[in-house]
Amino acid sequence: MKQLSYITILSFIILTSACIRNSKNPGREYMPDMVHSTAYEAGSVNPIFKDGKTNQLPPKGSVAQGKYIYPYDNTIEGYEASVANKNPFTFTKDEVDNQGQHLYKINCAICHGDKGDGQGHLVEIGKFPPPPTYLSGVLLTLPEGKRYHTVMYGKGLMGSYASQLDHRERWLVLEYVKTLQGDAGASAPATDSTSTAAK
Amino acid sequence: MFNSYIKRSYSLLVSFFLIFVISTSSYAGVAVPDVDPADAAAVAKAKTGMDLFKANCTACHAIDRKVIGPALADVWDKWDTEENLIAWVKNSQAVIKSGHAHANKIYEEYNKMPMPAFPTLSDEQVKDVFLYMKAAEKGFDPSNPGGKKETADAAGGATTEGADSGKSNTTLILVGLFAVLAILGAVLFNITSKLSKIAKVAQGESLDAIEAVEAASKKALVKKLGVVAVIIAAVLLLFNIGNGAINLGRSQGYKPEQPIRFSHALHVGQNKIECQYCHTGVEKSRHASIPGTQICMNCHKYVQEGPKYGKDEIKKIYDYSGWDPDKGAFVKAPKNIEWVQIHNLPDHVYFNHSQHVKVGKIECQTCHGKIEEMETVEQFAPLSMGWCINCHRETKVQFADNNYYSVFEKYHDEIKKGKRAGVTVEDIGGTECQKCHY
Repeated sequence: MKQLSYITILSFIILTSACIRNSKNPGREYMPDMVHSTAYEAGSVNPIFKDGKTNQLPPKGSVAQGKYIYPYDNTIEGYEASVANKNPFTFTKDEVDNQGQHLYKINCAICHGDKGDGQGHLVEIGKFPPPPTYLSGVLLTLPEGKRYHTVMYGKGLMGSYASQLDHRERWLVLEYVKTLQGDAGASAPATDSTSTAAK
Repeated sequence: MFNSYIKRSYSLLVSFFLIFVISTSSYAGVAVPDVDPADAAAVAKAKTGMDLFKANCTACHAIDRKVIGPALADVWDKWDTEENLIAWVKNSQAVIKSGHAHANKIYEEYNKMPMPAFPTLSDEQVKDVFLYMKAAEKGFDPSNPGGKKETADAAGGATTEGADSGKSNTTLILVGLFAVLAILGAVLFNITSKLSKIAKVAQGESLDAIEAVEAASKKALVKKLGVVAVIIAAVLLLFNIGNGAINLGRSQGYKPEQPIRFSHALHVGQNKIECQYCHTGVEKSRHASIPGTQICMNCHKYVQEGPKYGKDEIKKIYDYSGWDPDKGAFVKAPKNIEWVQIHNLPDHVYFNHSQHVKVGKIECQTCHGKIEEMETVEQFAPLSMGWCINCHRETKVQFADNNYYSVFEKYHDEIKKGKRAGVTVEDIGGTECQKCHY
């Protein structure tokens, strides 16, 4: 009988030690003060700020060094005025073909399609309505300033990509779109010949 | 043949008459004929209309519901004449300026957001679009006049689920079989011992003597079994303690419930959205970054219903972001989504996503597992130091066409001369303590 009681005690220990972990529980830690940062980490909850976030926007009116400020408003007038906006960068062909394509595939191709024909994967499987094609019609000859404005603020069902792409990346993607459009896109007119919407 | 010709010209006559009546009456609505699936010419026109609709309209409109612009299904009764509606499509601003009552009402209703003009479309093309819209309302697809519906997605979902339940079924069957066999074995053992007892009694031994011997051997067996059990238990206990100690602070397999049941299996696996579409920081910073609701809303302004949880989970995004799907506008201040952090490297370890993803060109799945198959994300890797170091020892650095490593001239030279096959992370200091601990 003595052995039996030993057995029960031991099997109890085994059972409990096996139950420390389950998938809903991150498990135990060794010296938690060395694991968790004393300072608030990016993306963590923060009781000090009113909105409870550690990630804060810079104070209103302050501008980070080198940050580009887009001068046109998200209005119909702003859209029309953005025609004057020109690409300030000169990219090498290599940059456009590699980095530009990379960014296009991540951010645009899911709807606009790898070729820019508006037949991305989400459109093909019927989850999202097709956007207009780049390869003909209005978008083929849309001035690059208006294209930038659209990436900045979104248009129709397309959302803003201002937070995902920075100033240089936006122009890089637009340059890549021009290569998709071939000759017509490369000479995207700076002056507005297509729009009569707000006149 | 001749009959159908008469029929067609007759219907043409009728439609002309209808158009005449409509254009003369003040508010009769716009009449667009239904497409007869058997009429190849009408189907072709509707197909043209569909292509035009998809190229020009779907960025803002849907037939059956409001998107950016109004739903188009009930447009027919709201407009007085077809001419005005065509004019509106081609240049809405001009119709508004002409003082058309309904045009101005719509313009006000949608916060003076103008519809882009489509001066390149001809009247005939706009009419084709109308033809398509009317057909689509009735569920007719001109590119597929036969009306066969594809259900590939539904079938795909069903098969994966079937495979899952099949797996658990086989384990159940195995356990059941094992239990039946064990019971059978016990019963057989019982029967043989009883039979041998009966045989011995038949040979003339006394029952009491047999039972006394049996009791003694039973006691000895229990004692032996007890010793074996204690040894096994001790080994298991030591193993558990050791394992538990090793796993202290490691969360491999951690799979907490999240505030929104966001499925990576759906978004990455089926929809094939790139990881970086949402985790925008992964190539630029130490953090991969958790997307804000504005990235969700890029698609979910339109997609209001998911395949698995219906509207429930997507409604949570609307609550967090303050979006009102009926009004189509942000009406409340956004709230924070408190996602549960899964991967947590200790504070004394430095890890940088951009170094691994952008410079090292490591696939996300190398460390995060088959994310594209995870319904709920779980920690795939142990994130232990041994795991990090192993990978640093084995992984070849992408030296070719990578400016980042141009400073390692000696290695580049050796590779050129053929003295060296490749460079591992360890070769460039990837196992030095202060590389990660500082």
